[in-house]
Amino acid sequence: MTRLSRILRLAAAVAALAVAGAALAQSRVPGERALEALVKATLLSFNDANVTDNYTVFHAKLSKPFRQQFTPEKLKETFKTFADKDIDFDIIAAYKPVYDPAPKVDDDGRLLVGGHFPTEPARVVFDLKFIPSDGEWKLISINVKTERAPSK
Amino acid sequence: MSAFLRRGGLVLLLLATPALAQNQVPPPKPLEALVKATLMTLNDANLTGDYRVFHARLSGPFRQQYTPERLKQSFREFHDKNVDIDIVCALAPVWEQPPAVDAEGKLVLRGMFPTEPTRVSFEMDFLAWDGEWKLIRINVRVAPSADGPPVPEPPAEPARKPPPAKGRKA
Repeated sequence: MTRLSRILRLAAAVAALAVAGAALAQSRVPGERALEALVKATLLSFNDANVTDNYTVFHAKLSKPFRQQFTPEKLKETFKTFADKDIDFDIIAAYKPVYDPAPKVDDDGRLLVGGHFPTEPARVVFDLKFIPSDGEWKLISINVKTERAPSK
Repeated sequence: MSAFLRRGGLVLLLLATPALAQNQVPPPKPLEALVKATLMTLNDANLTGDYRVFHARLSGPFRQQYTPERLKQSFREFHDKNVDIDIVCALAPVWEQPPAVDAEGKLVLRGMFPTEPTRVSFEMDFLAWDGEWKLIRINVRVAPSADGPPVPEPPAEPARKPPPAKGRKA
């Protein structure tokens, strides 16, 4: 499976961060399944953008402040390393995320979700922030990197 | 997770000369990832109305027969009803028949995700293409599960089945 083999070869790390005024609404951390789906769906949208070099769909799913700050073209430039190295981590869809620290909603109403997917020998590390928008959690910040899994 | 409980069904079918290469069914993890990632790419297209990324991930014959605009028309019901199936990411697929590579070299996957009260059923065929399994046929249906309560929505439109492709792969 080439997708799997690709993830074994990758060693890139790229981060993008959008900072904007967070929504003031207080919200609770979603349930376990809904949270896992949110994380995976977000990362798979990001992965699709990297693999196809088309960031329009990923852009459309972002929160409004993120969309306003990052055009699809700017996203493409920001994550150039992923596309250039042909990184494809869709294998995460078959793994459970490991959260570290525990997901929480901060004082500004942002949902903070960090952790990794225990793929081997490289694992996918993520740091995602969402704000409530139109009744859903929408991405306001994303930081993804792949790194060699610690030896057992 | 907004509109997941809505009812909808739609068929997209494309037949083309499959790759002749004999291939093995992928191991469980890559197989599960293939199904979920494919559905999530379609889900993104349905939610945003932008089918260009989904189109880019199809096999060559599928891409040649279906433009992004035609894909949008084919899946219009999902888009119009804002059907969101991203919850399948957090579930394991249940196979309705064992995944297999058929005599023509296609990877044939039939199954569903046991979400409640509606479930997501899928039929997908993949071709060995550019060293990967790429989609050549997809049929996704979101419908009430057998044990779920009735969903007060009108029946889905009859499935639309495009004519078989006449072209060969590039």
